[in-house]
Amino acid sequence: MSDVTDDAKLLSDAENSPTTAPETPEPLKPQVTRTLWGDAWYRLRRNKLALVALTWLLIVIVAAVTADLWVIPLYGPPNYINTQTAAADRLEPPSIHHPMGTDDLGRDVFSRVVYGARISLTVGVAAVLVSVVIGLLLGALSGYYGKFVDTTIMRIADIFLAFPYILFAILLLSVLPPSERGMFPVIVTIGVLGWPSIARVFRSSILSVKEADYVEAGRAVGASDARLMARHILPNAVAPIIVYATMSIGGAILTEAALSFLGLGVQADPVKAPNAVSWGRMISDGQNYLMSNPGLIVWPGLAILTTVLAFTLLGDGVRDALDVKMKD
Amino acid sequence: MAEHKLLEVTDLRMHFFTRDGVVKAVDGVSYDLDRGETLGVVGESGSGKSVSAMTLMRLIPMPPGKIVGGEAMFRGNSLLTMSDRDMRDIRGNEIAMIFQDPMTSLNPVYRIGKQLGEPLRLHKGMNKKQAQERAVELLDLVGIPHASSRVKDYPHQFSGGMRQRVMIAMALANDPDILIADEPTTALDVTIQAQIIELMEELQQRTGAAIIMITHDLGVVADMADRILVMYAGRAVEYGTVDEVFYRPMHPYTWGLMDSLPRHDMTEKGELCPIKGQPPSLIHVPAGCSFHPRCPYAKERCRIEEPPLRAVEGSHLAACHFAGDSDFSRDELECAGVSA
Amino acid sequence: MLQYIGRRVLQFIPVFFGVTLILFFITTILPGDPIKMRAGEKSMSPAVYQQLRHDYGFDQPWYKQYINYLEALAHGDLGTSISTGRPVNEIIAESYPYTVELAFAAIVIEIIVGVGVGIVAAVKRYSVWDVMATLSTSILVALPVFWLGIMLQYIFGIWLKGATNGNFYLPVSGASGDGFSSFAHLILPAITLASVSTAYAARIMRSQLLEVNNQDYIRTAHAKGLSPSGVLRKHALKNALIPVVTFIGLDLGAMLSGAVLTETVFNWPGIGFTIARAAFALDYPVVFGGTVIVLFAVMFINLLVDISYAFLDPRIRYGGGSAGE
Repeated sequence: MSDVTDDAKLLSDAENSPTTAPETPEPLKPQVTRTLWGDAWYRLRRNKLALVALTWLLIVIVAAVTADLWVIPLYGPPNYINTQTAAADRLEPPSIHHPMGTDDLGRDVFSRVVYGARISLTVGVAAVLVSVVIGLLLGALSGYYGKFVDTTIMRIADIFLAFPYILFAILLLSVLPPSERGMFPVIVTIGVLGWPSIARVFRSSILSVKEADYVEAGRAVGASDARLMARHILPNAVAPIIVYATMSIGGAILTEAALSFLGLGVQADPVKAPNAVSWGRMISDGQNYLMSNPGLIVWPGLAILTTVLAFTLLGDGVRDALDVKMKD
Repeated sequence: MAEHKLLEVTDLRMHFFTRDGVVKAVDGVSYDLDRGETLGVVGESGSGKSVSAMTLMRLIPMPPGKIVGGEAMFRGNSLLTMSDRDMRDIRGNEIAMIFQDPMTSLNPVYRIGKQLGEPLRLHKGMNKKQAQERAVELLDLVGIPHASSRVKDYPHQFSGGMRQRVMIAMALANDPDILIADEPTTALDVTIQAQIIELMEELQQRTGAAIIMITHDLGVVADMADRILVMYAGRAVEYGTVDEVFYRPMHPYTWGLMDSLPRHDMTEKGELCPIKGQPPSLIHVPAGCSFHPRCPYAKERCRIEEPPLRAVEGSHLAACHFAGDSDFSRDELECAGVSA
Repeated sequence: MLQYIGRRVLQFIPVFFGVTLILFFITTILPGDPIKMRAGEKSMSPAVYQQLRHDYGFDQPWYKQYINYLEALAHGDLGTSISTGRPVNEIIAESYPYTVELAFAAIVIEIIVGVGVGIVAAVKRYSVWDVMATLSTSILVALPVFWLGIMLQYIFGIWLKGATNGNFYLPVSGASGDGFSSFAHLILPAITLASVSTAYAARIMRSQLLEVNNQDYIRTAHAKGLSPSGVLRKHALKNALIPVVTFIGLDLGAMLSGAVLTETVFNWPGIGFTIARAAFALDYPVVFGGTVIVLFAVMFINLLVDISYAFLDPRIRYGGGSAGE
């Protein structure tokens, strides 16, 4: 239904990415035989913006993964309230001890931001994985078998797409009692909201590949459906998915932040998840102190912005590297 | 005061300055055009024949393009240095151009009548009604049936051949002195090609316009042209009347072109004679004569010195050091081709 | 073309039913019990509890509840709010106009700024303007909307107030009913809501215009002697705008679904805010009724946009193929 705008959006992303160079012919270099992926990696390496984005993401990931080792000893745990010092330490501006200051409960903001990265990255990647798994499966069935299967699945996709995004997420999550909420429901919710787009992209990929000559050739030699699917169709159709998925991670992170902001997201649980912090939640908590300590809101916001931007730029770079023309 | 020719192009050079180097798309093109005359410009893809015409019309984006030399005088006025305003007055009015692919050359969201009427309203100041009436006449002129109802249709409702007719009508709307036709039949079926050529000849008779016919099809040119300009790698390599170029070609490249034509009157089977090698990249044009790497007759001098386009026999020009030398002639080839 | 419209309308129907069904399911497999929530801390006698359950129809099997609801829907009756006891129709009628107001303000911004920036960026490709436009749109698209809203509140509501000694600032909360004051309240929320969409609109406009400019018919237009601005206005824009208009139309639909985040940050009493709050309170009639109305509005607008596309592009309007030579 909104195919035109989907295409227009994807094309506009391609045209508008800061990493897309104006068209000039490739300089003549001796052609070393390379694999498809090796070639793509070479192209990605040449893309400066994408490299910066990738570097930043690696820094964030490493920082988040190793947080227990260095953040807690230096700045204290993100959720721990030291009742003795809390009152004295609260709402401090940035300093050596607290690079981003402290919040209203005396907790170090930097520590919270780093631990928040864990949540955002985990939710972002996991949710997209869920979407991709569902989307690939349904998209494949739809594209390969066509006719009735196709129509049904696409109709269901339309139904999911008809729901206003945030509203649907709110509905799904608010149905859960507060005790049940946490990372898992959020991942499932965002994942379930995202599958229709992936299914559509994959389906159209398959449709265009399906009719290709080399698939006909395979069929002529007697290959079974599953074999054709696995060996021939999938590898070629998968490139746009990789691009789309990378860019979707950014969107998933934004959604997670929004849901946490509304109070529906990840909660800290002294037993199960003592260090669980969400950037969105930090922003919502910080609203009360907007006048005095805007930093409480600025830091997590910047964290979200830079991380999402990095994923978007990386996605652009991946798309250019794989030379995927996302327009039909 | 000497009588001005309609169009005089002298050593025109236009290069593209890109990140990867300077593309010498047009690097030395010269010819004249008289009223009512047809000039055929032939060459392979990438020879610069289309680009040189677009340069005349100043339709090349500058940057990255830049005119680095030469002159093009239309009725004594320089096309290259006149103001943008003056150039726009000429385009679609005194000099008109039609392009290769009729399927995409018309705006899909406007009716044919409106697009036909645009040059009329722009240059002749007609109002909507007048333009529409004239549009119907023009459609009729180019042989489109039911012109008065077709004028309200959209481009996608016309076939390729018909769209090309519309393009011709649009170009001739203001009675131009020169019509530049850039590969007008290449994208059409062979039978339609013949019709379009015929139409153009007929209209030329009627209006007296000069035509510059750009094509890689020697057959088309043999039919229509009075004079021929052969281009290679952005340069003019031979220029003469159609008889001179076809029956007494002077440049080895032209020989190669003629030889590569398949013949339909052979009595025995033989092989085709392509010219060996590939056209050069326009960024790395060979030194000296640009054809020398592929020329079976190349000597040391050809590697070093660029041959000027010079008169070999009256107004028959060729850009080869040895053209016209008494001992320089075409070899007999074993493969099928036009015999020397 | 009638075929095209007919097909679209036909697709609309199963989607509508599917959507309402799913919505219904979500609200019936609820672990939480809305009546108990309404009662709050006070305990309720079993008799009263059963009575309330019966009144709201919760004691019937789900498919019956669904049918009842559809019937009521057909009559325009959306039930009663559990939290407040007011008719859902009333609640919706009260809050929807605010959302509409906000959406239209945002769309105006999106059209003027988005399309304008997109055109400038395309026309002056590779220039400073283009680079700035590309960068700022990339950033805007990565911004959390609610964070932008809060930042705007800070800059224009708090910092500005301080910087001008309390003389000049923009209101940051709520919407008041009367004239100019209402407009002032509208500014920040509208900008916030418009931000991401405007970025997308600008990008789409730019890429469409760049693509159109590469088309052969633009070259033909130049060859006719049209000035560059003439070519842009008469030929390029008309083609490039088609997908952009479609996008903006669909965006309007999305905004009319209640911009929950923006409305929450600015305390804007629109339908998004209302539904979200009701969802927290497990006030299902409001949630369901509100969502159904919103869905209807969105799907209707999407349908209109689809149909308008047929009008904008003559190739669809006059589907007919070419006549013979």
